Amino acid sequence: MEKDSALRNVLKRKSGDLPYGFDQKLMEQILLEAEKKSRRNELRNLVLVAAVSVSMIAGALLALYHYFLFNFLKLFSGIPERLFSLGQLSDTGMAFAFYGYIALAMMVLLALDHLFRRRLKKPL
Amino acid sequence: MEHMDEKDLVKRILDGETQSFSLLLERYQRPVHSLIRQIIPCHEEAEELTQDVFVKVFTSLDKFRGDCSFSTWLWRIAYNTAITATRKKKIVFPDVDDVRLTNLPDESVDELLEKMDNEEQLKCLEKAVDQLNVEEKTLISLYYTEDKAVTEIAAILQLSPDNVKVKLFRTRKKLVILMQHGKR
Repeated sequence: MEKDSALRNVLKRKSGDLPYGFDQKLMEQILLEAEKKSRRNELRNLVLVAAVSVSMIAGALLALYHYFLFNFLKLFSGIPERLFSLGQLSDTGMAFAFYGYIALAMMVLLALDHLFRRRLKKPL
Repeated sequence: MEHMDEKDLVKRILDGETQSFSLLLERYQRPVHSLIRQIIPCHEEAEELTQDVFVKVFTSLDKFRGDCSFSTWLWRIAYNTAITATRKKKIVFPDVDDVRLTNLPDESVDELLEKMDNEEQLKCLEKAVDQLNVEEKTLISLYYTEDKAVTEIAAILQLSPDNVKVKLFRTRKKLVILMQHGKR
């Protein structure tokens, strides 16, 4: 492709050269950016894990407080009966809520696990 | 092959092999700097902008989806960075009347741009190139210096291939008119 050779010539003259050590200096900048990126990711993951953990603990404490506090003494006073007669609990909704909370927590954890595994193995 | 090789390199860099980025630098720093120098005449500014381009490329690497070649994606970043830099300076580029462009015979354009023995004429052409806008400078740099195909230039500038052909054609004519104007 040698058409317009005068124009090619002029463009070549205007190109200029890179100074000595340009690529080294640039690579240093890139490595600095890589470190910043790594620290940002670490902090973000820490905050996410902390937020999820705190919300789960808070949820567990809330469930314990609202649904089990009033039945605490009852549970301890008639343990053998209570263990084998779940159907006779005064509020079956409490049992559902308790197991429902466990199920929900498990699903959230499974979803997060799946999400993190996908992100770590994400192809181009 | 080069297309696959670069995608593999990008994957390795994203997996943590930051040093592999030096291979991409080696491949592209001079061509990118060459393009930036066409657009930004000042040495120091052009070097700084070239650095900015590669830092942007590195920090945006996780956004590269692979729907185009890595080369096209990188050139697009270089072009957009140059556009932003010139917009900040608010440079006004001369425009040429459509009628003048249409009336100029193609043969005279071909003849003039094909061969110039005279140093004075070459300097005149250089000054005319300086007066082109960023898109026009990018078009001729990618086409003549980097020998890019029209389809690739279209992908880089996000234009249709026909649009690129028309713009190249008009830019060549514009250069001749600017040269004629410069001689007066």
